[in-house]
Amino acid sequence: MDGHKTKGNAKEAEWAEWMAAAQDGDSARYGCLLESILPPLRGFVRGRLGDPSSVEDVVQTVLLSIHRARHTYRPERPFGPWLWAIARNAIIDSQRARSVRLRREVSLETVGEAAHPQAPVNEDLSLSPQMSDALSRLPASQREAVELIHLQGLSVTEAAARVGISPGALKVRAHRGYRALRARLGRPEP
Amino acid sequence: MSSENTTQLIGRLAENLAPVRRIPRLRQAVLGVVVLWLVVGALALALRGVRPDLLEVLTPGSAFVVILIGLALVASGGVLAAMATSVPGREGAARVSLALGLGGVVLAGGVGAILVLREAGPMPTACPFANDVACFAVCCLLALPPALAVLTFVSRGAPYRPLLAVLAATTGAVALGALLVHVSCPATSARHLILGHALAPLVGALLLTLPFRAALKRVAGI
Repeated sequence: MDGHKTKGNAKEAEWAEWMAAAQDGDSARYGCLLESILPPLRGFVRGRLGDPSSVEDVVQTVLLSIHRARHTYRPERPFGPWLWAIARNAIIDSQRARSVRLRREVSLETVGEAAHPQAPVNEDLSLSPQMSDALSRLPASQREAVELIHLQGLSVTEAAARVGISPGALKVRAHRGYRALRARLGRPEP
Repeated sequence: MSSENTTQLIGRLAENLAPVRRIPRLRQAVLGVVVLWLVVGALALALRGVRPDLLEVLTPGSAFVVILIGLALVASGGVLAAMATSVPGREGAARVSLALGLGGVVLAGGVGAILVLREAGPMPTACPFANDVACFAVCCLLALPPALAVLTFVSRGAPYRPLLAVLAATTGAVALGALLVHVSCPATSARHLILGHALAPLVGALLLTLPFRAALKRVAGI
């Protein structure tokens, strides 16, 4: 146990030395430092994330945070608490961003359902006259996005590929379309 | 982001590495703020003078002393918390400082206010409201140099919660100003001591936090 601790302390001392050199512009030692902290950092992130598929993304975010905050490290202070504090904060931020993204995606689907409560996907649709009218008044780009996703039943990725834009941009167009439809049909926000 | 391999990212970060100027030691930065405050305080007291009955009111357990200690706690807690939250790995110091500051708020704004009202008796000394506002304004004015010093440090650091750092900085800085006002203002009105001195850090923080937060974002991009 003591041997393990001593080894850990020696490693941290080495990291501290490398970081001090990196602050003076030594890119070789900085590279060594980042390579060396990578395995424990992966373990740290993996232990705190519910979604294993996003581990590498978060690890990269932490590396960028370390890079941006490297001037805040003081060589006379232990390196570990500094490193893990940055990692912890970056993980919390990425989890928060992820949950916001998920909420937005869920609400996008809910909006879509609200706009087309009985819309049968992949079938010849018989829209109500009000819905057809509201749909026809949408700007062409928004109408296309709504039709592809909710009338033709394409996934966001497929629809984006067909239009030739990014999935994010397509989602934005569709979301704006739903909002306009809801306003025209006089339905409240879900 | 995963389109770029982590090893490639490390290579890119190391390749484009530029030397950086280290953030000053927390202890040095705090000392700098204290020295600045002492200079500002010496000037302020030279201009305003100390209250004539200062030695008489400095009795243990008096409302004056309780407010004074409370303000000192808010000042030290706020300034330390603002600076500590800007340095990764100093979360422990930040938590202790925040607790210290909150304790000071309770002491000055709660216990101090109760004692002041009790000491005032049934016939409190009259004092125009304008005097309360004037003392509060002086607190905020005297807070500006230490607040700017603390926020300069915050802007050089990596605050995880910039709004919290600014809130702590403004509360602490206005408490530093209130300390000077408290020992120099001769007023004895209960309302004046509460509004113009004891609660000044809270009200000042409410007024100053958002403008300073906006300035920090604009100047330092934090």
